[in-house]
Amino acid sequence: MSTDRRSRIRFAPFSSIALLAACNGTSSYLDATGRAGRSEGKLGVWLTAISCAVVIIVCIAVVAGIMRHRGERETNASVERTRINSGLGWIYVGTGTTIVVLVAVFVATMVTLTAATHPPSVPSLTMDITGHQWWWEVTYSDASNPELGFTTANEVHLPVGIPVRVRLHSTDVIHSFWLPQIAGKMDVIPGQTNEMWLEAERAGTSRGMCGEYCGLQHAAMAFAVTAESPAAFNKWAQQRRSEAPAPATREAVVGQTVFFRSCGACHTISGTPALGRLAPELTHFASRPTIGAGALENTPANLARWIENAPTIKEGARMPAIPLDAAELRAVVAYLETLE
Amino acid sequence: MTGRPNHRLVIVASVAIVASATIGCRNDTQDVRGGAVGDRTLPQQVGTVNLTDSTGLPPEGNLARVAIGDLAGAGNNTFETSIKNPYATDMAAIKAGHELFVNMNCASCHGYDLKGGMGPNLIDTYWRYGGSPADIYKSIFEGRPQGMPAWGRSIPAVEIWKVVAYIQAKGGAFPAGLADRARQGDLADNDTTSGSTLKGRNNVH
Amino acid sequence: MVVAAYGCGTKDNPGRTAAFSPASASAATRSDAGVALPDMLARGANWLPPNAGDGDWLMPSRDYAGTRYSPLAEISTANVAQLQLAWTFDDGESHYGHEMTPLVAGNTMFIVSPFPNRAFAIDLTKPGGVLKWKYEPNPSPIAVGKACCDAVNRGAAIYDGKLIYNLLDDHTVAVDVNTGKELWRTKLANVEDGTTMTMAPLAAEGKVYVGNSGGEMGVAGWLAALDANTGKELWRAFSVGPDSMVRIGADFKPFYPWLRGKDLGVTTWPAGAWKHGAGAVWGWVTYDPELHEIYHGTSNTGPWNADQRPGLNLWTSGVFARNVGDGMARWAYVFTPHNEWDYDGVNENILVDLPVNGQTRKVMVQFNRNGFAYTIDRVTGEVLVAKPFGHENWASGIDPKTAMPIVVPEKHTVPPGRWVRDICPADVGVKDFEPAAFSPRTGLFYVPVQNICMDYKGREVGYIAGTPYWGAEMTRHVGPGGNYGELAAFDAAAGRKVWSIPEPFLVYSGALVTAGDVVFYGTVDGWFRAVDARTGKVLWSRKLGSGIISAPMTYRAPDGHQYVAVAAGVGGGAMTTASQPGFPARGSTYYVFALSNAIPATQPARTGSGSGSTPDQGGKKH
Repeated sequence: MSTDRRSRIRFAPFSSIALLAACNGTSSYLDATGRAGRSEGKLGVWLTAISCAVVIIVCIAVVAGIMRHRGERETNASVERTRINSGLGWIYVGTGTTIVVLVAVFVATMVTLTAATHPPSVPSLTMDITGHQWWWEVTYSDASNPELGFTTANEVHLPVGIPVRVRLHSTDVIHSFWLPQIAGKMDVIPGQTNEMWLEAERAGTSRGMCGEYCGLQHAAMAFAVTAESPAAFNKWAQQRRSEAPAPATREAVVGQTVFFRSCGACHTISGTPALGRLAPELTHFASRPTIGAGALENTPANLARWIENAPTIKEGARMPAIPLDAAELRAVVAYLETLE
Repeated sequence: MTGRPNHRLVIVASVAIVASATIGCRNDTQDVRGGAVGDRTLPQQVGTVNLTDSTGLPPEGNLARVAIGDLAGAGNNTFETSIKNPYATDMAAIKAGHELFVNMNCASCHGYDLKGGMGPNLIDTYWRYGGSPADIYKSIFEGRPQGMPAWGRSIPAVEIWKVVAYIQAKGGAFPAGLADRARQGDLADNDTTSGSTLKGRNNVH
Repeated sequence: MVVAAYGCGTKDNPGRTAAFSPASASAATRSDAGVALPDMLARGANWLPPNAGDGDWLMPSRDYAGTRYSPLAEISTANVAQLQLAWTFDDGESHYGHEMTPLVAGNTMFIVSPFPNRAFAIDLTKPGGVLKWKYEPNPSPIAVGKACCDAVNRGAAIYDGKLIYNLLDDHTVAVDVNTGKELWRTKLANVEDGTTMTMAPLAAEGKVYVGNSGGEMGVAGWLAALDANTGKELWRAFSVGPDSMVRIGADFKPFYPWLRGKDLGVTTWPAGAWKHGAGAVWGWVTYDPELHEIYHGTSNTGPWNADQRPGLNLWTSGVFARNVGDGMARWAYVFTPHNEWDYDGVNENILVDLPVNGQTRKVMVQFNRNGFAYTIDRVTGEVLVAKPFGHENWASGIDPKTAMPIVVPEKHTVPPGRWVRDICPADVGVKDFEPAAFSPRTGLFYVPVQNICMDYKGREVGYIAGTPYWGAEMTRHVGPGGNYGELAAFDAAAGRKVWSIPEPFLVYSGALVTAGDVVFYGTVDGWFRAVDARTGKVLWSRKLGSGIISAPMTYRAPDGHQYVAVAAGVGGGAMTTASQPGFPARGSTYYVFALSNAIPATQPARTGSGSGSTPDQGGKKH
């Protein structure tokens, strides 16, 4: 079972959209929707075209060379003479052409990548991304107004047309932060803060992932990327900043109590005493598409399975099996489902 | 090398320990319900461990096991003190225990070096509530009257054993089986057994 | 007018010489003890609780202005060398540090022990001090494990026939001074959540002002006012949160623009972080009966790891002036905005009138943990002088325009997860809660100074109710010069040290100054010293049984003589240096000294009177 799931995710980028329903998006860099991603995509297309052209030209030259000398039988001495007389010039031509093409490609690549690393305007919005084994912590902040900051997990929203500064941190091993459709990937290294920027050019959803092997569940370290209009983004941010509503039903009230007791040391639900920082924050958990950074689709049944025994679903995950009785489990699921 | 411990065994052992320990502590004033961290209003019936029998009173036989004048009612309970921590020599578990020790804020009270601060030193030989691995497990599970929270509902049993393993690895516990002698102060420095050594006997508070 | 006399003071020595010129002497008042004082300087020292005689000591600082100045002059620089031990008293609680100052009302001395917070009344009419009654409040033992820095108590207040003090488990109690019977007990918080109470209440205008401790436990700080007669809570003013919780209204007029705005206690924090942002009110409260304002500081910001709370984090690490009646804030100032080093703002705010730059100002002086001595106009909240009074290297100064500290870049502790070396002062500060004293006779402040630095590493921390919300690891070491402590005489108008006495161990005791021009203070290794207030010459020293971390006091006993009392019981924040060779063991003894001629040559032998009527001390329960 777990093999099935893992292979599904591993090959997800190359398989059909249907398989990606859980992530509600695609992750092909060829279908770029970000400013950096688009220029890099274009560069990729041109590099591919040039490479293909070179391969074709070389093949033609090889074939032509073979054809031209087919049937000729000469002495060793004449072979020597032929090589010296007729081959040398082509070497200069070939090497020269190669150098010109390589230099041109090099310059084009450098110019494109330099442009891609510099945002067109100074980003006002900052996103701190922290890689954990195996999930992403996402903190938005506004230096001039700390109150506007908020933290979420395994989801990235981008306002279309506005560059966002990204600072990358890791708490354990090297990861790589990759939103294929928006921009190239950047390594996330413990003890070091790497910086990049992102700008989405048109609205849409896609899938981000870890681009550097980081351990057992490297493949299940995905995040949902949503590019949307600035107005929609602000609405989302406002919603994410809001505190969790008080549970309304009796079962959810019990679930909240159970949550404080058994989950609150690791997880945060803002507006409550649960303020742990070891695990994904869950204030608006119910509106996130997946559980466990893409390990499961976010449904109540899956959530119950996950809480009951996460390590059997995502082997190696830090979340332990939580010893709850059936009623407690039902209650805590009911509570988490209220966190829209 | 020891293999991976049998989880079911661990849980059964934990439950047994806590149940018997709780019965042994009935005379104590502490809150044996093990009220969760940050929440003292939890209904009593919620939880994995049944702490009292149907009458709500401890059976006589268990009461009799508490030796008079013994520290915190721990008694000469060979059943508890001889229980070994299933993770005592598991390096991965010790590492996980260390992470829990820091992340559950144990280090803030007991010190990143375990030498105490707001809470007691854990690597001297002075144990208010018993220093055998099982005693330490109990202290974490149940909490203690002077502010030690009860973690039994917040941290699964196997994870508590890992924290105990970390304390043992740091030389914090009395060796299982020697705890009674340790309580009497009869531990020579060469009294060490598997997975546990005694250090810092002259620790200054 | 005296003001005019002060107006001609030079900048270097603003007016102090003038204060003792014949011209100003004619304008001086005469205290009961017959010592002439300049009217202006003495004003604060005369703000006493109701029914306070000149030989009484009804609150830890003696007067509402917080001067710790006594008009008694029997013990003077001329005879202090003849000081002898008169009697001792032990409260039996040597487990925890003794930070409280004994109180004396008439013929009785009152002592409050650290946890379990027993109160003792000692009859001073009988030789040797006979126990009159004992009160045992039995606070919850959970509190011991929730107190960050030892299960201490910083003292009580005597008001309207009641001994009023806080229990470690978040209750305030009032005890009848004559009988030791509990009159009321009010619960103010849940100890399970990490809140404790250690501060000494201030009682004035029919109210008792109390605050919480727990800056390391993720609490939200508050000051509450209780009805002194019933103990009923009247209002509570938080140090964080929306204006309604902080009790900020239309009257709130902070001096600096960065402190103005709506709900700054919320908007200067990441969403929701203020709820666990600390700003506990565990220090001293002082009171100006003329302006009808109380002044109190707010503690460090929580958690210590500042990375988790970008923003200025108001109103932690600051000070409030509040209306004594309804608690509405008049102004506020923040000493260490976005505090990255645990520099609390709770130290005592001593209320005096000082000539600053040629103009007499009603000021409050706070010797802050962060190493700067702030002289602040207590009417407007303007910082007039801010100069270091000990060794600090985290800030190059205080910006005179904004009054914000200019932080030395390499002393930032953000980002966390790395060791930042040699930050001075350490978390315990250049001065902790141990209170300074002010003598209107010399115009000088007598300040205990700590010379301690730290290596600091911020750590990510999650909030788990009832456990520390701390987020830092650190090691401490002695500052330059190798002496942990110092007693300094400080001129707060000019912002300069006049003299100082270096001590090898921390000076963690408060100071006392008397009209005999003697300053008393103690050291963590147990030396109790008497010093000439003008020259700084040590005139007398005695080694006591343990380190001294409480403030001494002085009183006139029924026999008409002046006595000096101090507790010796090391603990509290002084334990940060416990690894120093020679550091004493804990203790729990109060020592009372008098001039040798005041102590009967031979103690009365078996007079028979009084014996057999002493209350049962009872067994210690553990």
